[in-house]
Amino acid sequence: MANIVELRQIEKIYKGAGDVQVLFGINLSFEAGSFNSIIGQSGSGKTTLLNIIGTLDRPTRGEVIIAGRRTDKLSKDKLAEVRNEIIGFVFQFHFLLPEFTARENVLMPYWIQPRHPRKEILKRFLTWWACLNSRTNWR
Amino acid sequence: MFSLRLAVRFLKSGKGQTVLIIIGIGIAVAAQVFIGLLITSLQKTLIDRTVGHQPQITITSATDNGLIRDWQTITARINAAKLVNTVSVSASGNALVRKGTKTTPVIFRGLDAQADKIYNISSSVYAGSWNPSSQGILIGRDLEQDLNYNLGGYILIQTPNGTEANYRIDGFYDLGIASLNKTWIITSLSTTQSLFGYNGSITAIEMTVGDLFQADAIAAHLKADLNNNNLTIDNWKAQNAQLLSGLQGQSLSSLMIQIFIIVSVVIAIASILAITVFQKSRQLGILKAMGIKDLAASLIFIFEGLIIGLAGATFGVILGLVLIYGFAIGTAKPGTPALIELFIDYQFIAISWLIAVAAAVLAALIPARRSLRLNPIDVIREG
Repeated sequence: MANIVELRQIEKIYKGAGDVQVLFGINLSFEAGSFNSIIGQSGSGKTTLLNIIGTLDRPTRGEVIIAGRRTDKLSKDKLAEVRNEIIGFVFQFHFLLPEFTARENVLMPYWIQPRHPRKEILKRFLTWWACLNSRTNWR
Repeated sequence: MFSLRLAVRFLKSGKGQTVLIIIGIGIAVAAQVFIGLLITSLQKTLIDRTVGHQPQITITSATDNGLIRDWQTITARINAAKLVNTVSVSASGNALVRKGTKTTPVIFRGLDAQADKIYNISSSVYAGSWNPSSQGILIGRDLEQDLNYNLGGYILIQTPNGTEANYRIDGFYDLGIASLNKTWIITSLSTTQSLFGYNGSITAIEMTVGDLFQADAIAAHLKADLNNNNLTIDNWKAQNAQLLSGLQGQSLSSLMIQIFIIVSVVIAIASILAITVFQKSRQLGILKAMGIKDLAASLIFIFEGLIIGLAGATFGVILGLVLIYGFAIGTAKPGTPALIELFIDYQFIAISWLIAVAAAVLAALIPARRSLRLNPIDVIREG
């Protein structure tokens, strides 16, 4: 399978009173459809790496290629589009929008665009939703 | 519109805060509308009562005898210019009223039918009636009471050059001003002309205009149009400079109060929305991670400003109108003229409403800008 994410010579230095380098020339690629884990000690740079892969942060040096597009030089708005269309996040803490229902939170990325989810996606969503609803009282 | 939907949800999620801010804006706008309408109504009432029922432009003779001979030509010209509402001619002269040993100085005022539109004579007559072609006269309430005259009785008038004549009292009037009620004897033009020997001449041309505040400009226009050095053209604004400067001072202070109110509205909205950005920074961070663009994120706050601005301004206008009507009704006493005659200036209300809405949107720009600087990674890092 083709690579969905590819990192080339990624370095990340946090600038401050004393510069801290977290990532040192990372070369990494993920195949589409694969399931991967990143394991490491606390403070080893897992979150930094994920933030860069998720385009929430930019590398100090190196290239990030997501779905064939170089993202490390994209504008803020273009990056927002990439995140909205290609990337899904599951955060460490449950980051939900309390002003919206659970269903609305799930559909949020479509609202941002705005566009309607494809039929098969909606069908899958409704199946899962029915499944969840049989056990909970979510709205 | 996604940003609008978010704005509504954010406002709904903090209902108490939203209602409070709308009430806050509403009270400020209500104060502005109330003060503005009150001052305008007070000024209109004051002007109406002081100069509304008197000529606003007066043409008198600059010649020694004080007479205007060719008045028909002049009034025709004035009427043709169509700058004034009413043109009335009068022939007046000083005289004495004699009753027994008592003499009282009066002004013998010969008026034409048009004068009724200026002085409201017919509606001021409380006994008898006014007929502008009658040979009889009207006297005022104060003179009636001073000298104890009866309706239909006769009054002896003496002119400065010694002519004496008796006139029948057709009625009594009350113009609301004691000095006029005491000194004016109202009669027809021809009666005065024959008493004083004016020989068909008159002493003044009196006019009212549509817009009181244009009186000086219209007077200047008439002066140029008539181009007659034998005439003096005067207007109420020139004669009442102190009243005018007092009114201007009042308008200015009202304007200052309104400006302070708007400034406080802007600051209040900006600070409350700035707090909202802080309160919603977590949500904004999540939305940015999900790909909301900067413009859409800023628009959330602009829409919040617009919604609370619209709601607050509308509430304020309604509250302001309730207050001003309440004030007018509350201060009215039966049997006396109202303290103010309400003048509801719809243009002023519309402008106040629009300024409040615009101020709310403008104030929302500050938090909107702050939202641009918010980085999702900071929010996520902090948990």
